[in-house]
Amino acid sequence: MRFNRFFRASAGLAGVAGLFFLTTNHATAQEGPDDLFNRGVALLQDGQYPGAEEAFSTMIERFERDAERLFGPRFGTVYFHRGVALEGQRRFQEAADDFEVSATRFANRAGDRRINPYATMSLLHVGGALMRIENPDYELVLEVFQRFQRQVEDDPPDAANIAYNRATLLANIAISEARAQRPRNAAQTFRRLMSDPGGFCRETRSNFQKTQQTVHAAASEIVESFQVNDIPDAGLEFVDEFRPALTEDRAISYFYTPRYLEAASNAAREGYYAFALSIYSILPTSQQVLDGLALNRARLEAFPHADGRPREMANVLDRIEQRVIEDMESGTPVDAWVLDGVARVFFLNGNQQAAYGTYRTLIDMFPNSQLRPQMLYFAAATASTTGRLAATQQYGERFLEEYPDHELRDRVEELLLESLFWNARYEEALAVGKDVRERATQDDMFELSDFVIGGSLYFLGRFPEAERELRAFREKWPDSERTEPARYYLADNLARLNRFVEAGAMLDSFLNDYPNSELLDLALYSRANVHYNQEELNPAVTRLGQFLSQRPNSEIRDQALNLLGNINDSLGNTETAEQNYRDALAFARRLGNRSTAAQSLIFLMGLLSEDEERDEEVVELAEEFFRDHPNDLNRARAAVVPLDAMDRLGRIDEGLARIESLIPTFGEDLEAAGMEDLILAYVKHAEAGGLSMEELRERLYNFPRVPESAVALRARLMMALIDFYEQRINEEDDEATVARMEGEIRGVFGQLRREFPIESLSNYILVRVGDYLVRYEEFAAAREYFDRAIESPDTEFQDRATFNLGFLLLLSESREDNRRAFGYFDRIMEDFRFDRLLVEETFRMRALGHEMLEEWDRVESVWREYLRYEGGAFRRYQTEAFYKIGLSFDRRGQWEAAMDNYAQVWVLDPGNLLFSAPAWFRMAEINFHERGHKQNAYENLWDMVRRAAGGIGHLEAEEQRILDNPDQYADRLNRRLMADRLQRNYIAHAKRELEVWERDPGVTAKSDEP
Amino acid sequence: MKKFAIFATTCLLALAGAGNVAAQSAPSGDEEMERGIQAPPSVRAIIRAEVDGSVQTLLGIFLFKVEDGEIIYADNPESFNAERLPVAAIQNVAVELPEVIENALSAYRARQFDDALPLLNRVVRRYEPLRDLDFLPIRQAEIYRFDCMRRMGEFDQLRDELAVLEREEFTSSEQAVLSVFPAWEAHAAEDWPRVRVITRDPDSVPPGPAAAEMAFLRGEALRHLAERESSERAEMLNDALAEYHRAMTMDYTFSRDLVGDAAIAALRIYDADERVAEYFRRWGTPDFSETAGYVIPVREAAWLAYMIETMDLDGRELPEDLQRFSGLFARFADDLEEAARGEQEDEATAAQAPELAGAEDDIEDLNAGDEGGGDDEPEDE
Repeated sequence: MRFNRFFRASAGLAGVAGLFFLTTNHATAQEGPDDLFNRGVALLQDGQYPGAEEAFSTMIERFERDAERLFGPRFGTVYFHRGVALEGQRRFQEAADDFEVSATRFANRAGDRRINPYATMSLLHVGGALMRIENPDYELVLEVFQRFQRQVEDDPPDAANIAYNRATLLANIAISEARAQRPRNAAQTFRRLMSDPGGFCRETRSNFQKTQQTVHAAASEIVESFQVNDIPDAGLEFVDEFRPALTEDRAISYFYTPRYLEAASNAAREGYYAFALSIYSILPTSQQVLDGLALNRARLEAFPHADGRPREMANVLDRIEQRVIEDMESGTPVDAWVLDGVARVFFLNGNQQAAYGTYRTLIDMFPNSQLRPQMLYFAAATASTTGRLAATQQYGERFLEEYPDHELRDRVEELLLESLFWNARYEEALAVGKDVRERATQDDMFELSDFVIGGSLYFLGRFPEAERELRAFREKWPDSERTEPARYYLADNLARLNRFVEAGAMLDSFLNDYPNSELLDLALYSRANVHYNQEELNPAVTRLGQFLSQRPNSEIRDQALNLLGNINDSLGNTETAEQNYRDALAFARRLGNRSTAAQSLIFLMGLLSEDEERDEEVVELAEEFFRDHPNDLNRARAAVVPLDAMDRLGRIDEGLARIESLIPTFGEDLEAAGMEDLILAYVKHAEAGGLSMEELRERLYNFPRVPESAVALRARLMMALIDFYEQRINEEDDEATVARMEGEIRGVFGQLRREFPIESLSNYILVRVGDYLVRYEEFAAAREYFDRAIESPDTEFQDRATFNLGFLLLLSESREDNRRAFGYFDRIMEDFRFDRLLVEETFRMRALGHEMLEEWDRVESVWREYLRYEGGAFRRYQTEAFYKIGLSFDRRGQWEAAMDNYAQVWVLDPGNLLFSAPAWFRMAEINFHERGHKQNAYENLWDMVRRAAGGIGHLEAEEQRILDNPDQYADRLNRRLMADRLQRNYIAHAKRELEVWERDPGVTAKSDEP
Repeated sequence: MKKFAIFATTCLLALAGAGNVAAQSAPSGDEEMERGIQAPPSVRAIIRAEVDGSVQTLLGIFLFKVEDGEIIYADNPESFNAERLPVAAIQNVAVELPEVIENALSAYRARQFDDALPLLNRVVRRYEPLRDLDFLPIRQAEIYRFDCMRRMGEFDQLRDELAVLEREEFTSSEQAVLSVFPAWEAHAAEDWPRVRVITRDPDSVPPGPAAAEMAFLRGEALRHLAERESSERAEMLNDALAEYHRAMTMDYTFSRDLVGDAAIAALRIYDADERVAEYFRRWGTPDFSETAGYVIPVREAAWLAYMIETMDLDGRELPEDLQRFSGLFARFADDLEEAARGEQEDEATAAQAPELAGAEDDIEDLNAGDEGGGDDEPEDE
């Protein structure tokens, strides 16, 4: 294009110049100035710029010294043409220098008729060339253009040769102003360009031909300049003002799309969002470009020359078409870039919906785009934030499948994991979390997967596993951002494991550390619940008070009200409790918390069923429950609670029918709340409902609509049969019937062991089968059942299983096992501290354990603690306690202390000969052997034997109890420990001892037998 | 076939002087009508085509119609000689758009729909015989005409005309645009199930104004239908939000009125969102948490309100009943700065530099080509 322009300009010039030079008398022999000049021009016309340059340079070399004299200003044409030749070689600085020489050194002057026809036009060319050098000085360029404009206005001698396109000059000035960081000036110049009336202007000697190229070349620079100069508002106004012009032609502007895109992208990055959007809004889509090309091709400017040569405009259109097609074929056309940019603006402004919608389209429309990984990532991310779980998974998984090694892989996995977890898809979160943890290489992925695994286990109710994971998480990632939820999960998890002491402490510390936690309501509720379970009713009320005042709109307010009802019920405030439950019910219904509403109904039923006068209401509530919540998890309890009221109202058959219809609905649901109660209640009320024992047995074995495959349920029903037989054995006098029932029990237990996989059994059954195995001394097998119970998500009977495991470890021959037993007892002492009965038994078991290990100081301390327990001293085993404390001193050779404690045994319960007899005996022995009170010792022992023989006390009964109750594990252990002191051994032993002592010189023997 | 000599230099220069706008000497369609000339409407053109095995240039001819794949033309607008030229033989063409077409398109682009519609009616009616020529914007004028009807609420006419429209005569991109009008008509009738059916596949329309309109209409359908179908209400409203947002992005926010309408409609969904209510309820109380879930929709709504208030959306303003969202955006300013910083620092997800083929060199060339000499006029032949 430059060539064409020069060609036309120099073609005109050649005639003039040739004529000029020919008139001089300085033609050389070799090649005169005209020859040289004409040769240069001809070479320029052929596009042979180096040759042309050489011709003009030769001319300058040969004539420059006398140029002023010989040619005057006209010699400037030589510099002008050499400038053009240099421009053709892209040597813009040298070209600008030559144009400058033509414009200044060879400027026209008054009186000199040897006119340089290009003196003024040279200035325009200086500006043009300076714009194209590396790192142009745009202030200088602008200065040059101003000189040009001033010179034109001065009507110079070369005015006849001044011809230029005003639109182009204005565009170049605007571009230079923009690049000189004066965007407002540039915009003003652009405004002149756009408002120019067009046509030839006599004053400026310019025509006006504004093309889309001119418009966009300037506009794109100006837009960019506004952004660079941090004046986005002015930029926004600029785009808004010229939007119609900038969007008029959708084809040519495509050339300038990269610059616009970059400006928009930078504006977005700088936070100039409205400006960024306004820039994006003027860009064409690929289809618009293609449509626009067809119309542009029908413009005259694109029509070929007469000889068929294409015009520059046609070339431009071809190039645009080629590029838009290339861009489309590349998979990332302009549409993808712009949509990505627009979506990102919305995304950066927290508007995830837009980003989601846009990325969804991008993914569908540009499957081969280089941006696809980012598209999939953002689609998944925004789908997640906008609550579209399926889409999150879909895009996330597609990413992982298509880009398994992409650098964003971790992010996507993180996203999927978080999304699954926070959307309560815990089973999947757990599976993915484990998978991620196996493959993770980065700490943050380890951390996240640890958290999700622990949290998911917690939400899935797999509390023992959850505890391990959450504890590990806390230890491994003490500074994690997820510490807060993890601490809450762990604390509440412990509460659900009934380890209330530890849970309570953790919750207290959580509440202390996070007084404004998002989880505050949950933590307060959990803490209140723990207090309630520890029978600390007043602190529970305090925590619930905090809950209701600090989180009045909590989504678990209904649950808190239910708990408050329970507490008030425990405190005997039945009216308040009823109101609490009714409030909870109303609130739950308003929030749509169906399960809590169902729970409120059950609590209400329970409360009202204590008052026989309200039986009708209870039954109505039950009907309401089964109408509104027929599939509620607690439906079993809801069926059981009103049974007594129904019985009293003579409607027990309805209750039983309901249970019969309910039982099969549980299928294999091991966690079904109240299942045991349901079956037990069924059995309990069966007779009242008219079932004979045989019928009940048959019914439990083959329960209606319970298929063979429902193993967990069948196991429960069989267990109910055992319970039923055991209860009847206690009431039955007929030995044959008892024997038959005992046989049945053994048969059912055997069947439970053989036919039911251990994992299908509930904790109740596991503990019962374990106990059964202990009775028959199958200790190893029993341990399996107890182990399974404490690992099970079922929290029922875990206390018992824990206790029994401790016991079994004490029975082991291995010292290591024996010591491990104390771990289980410690857990009971902590987690089940509220259960005094269990704690008391555990004290005894611990003391026995230490006794077995002959750790006498421990024996003493445990029993002492037992006698002074902070929650209220225990009494049940105090005789044994004093005896064992005495024994501990005895074994350590501390005779006086031993004597004191043995004496206490006699003071407290002399009739409890299991302990009082050996205490008496040891007192005598110590007196005899250690203290030398031989006569006294002899008489005491004699007296004791006499009394025992006379049947004083209840030694035999005590001994019998121990032997008859193999399920009383402490007694069982004691029997082992006390074997040598049991009555039958002991009397014989004492008699033998008396015979020995009678022969001692220090003893005066009695004449008669004791 | 009449042989054309290259004789019309003056004619060419006259055309050249006016660019692709009306030449001084060429009568426009309107002028023809005003003069009461009964000649059929034509478009003046220069065509370069292969005729009888050689390439010829047909200068200053008048195109009358396209029939059976051939252009029927003459060298005189008033004397219709049945010269024919296969369209496929055309290599290049330059046309001089009649003023009526220029005016009609200009009025439409200036959003003066009242003025544009009668002009477009005339264009479509007069130049119907030439509508198959891709280099003439006749079909485009027809589409603009439908759009004017839609914007002026003339849905009865729109429906009637669309019913008999031969869609296969349009290109696929034009058909995509046409497919939106029935949805607008159903939208005007508030027949939401129909709008939903028509817009069921919004992703089938490539990015551009039609895609934006399609998304907006689908959003409208989903929003209104959600009120009737309580079981899927939340999901439908969420989908409606996504569609409204797509309407704001699918044509890069080019359709400013649509962006404004979609933003206001989306704000209405946010306004009724319980989470948004919870945000306002908790704001300023100790209960408030900046990281709670209810902040997410409020941030989205705040941006839309900000957009309406700061951008020129064809006169759309934040409605009175949605004023609680006004200025809300400022509350998230810190977050935004942080997000922007994060975005900058985050190489993996940071906006990538576009890699379109349009390059600086070409821009330079174009600049350079324009620069200086006032030499863009066509050469003398």
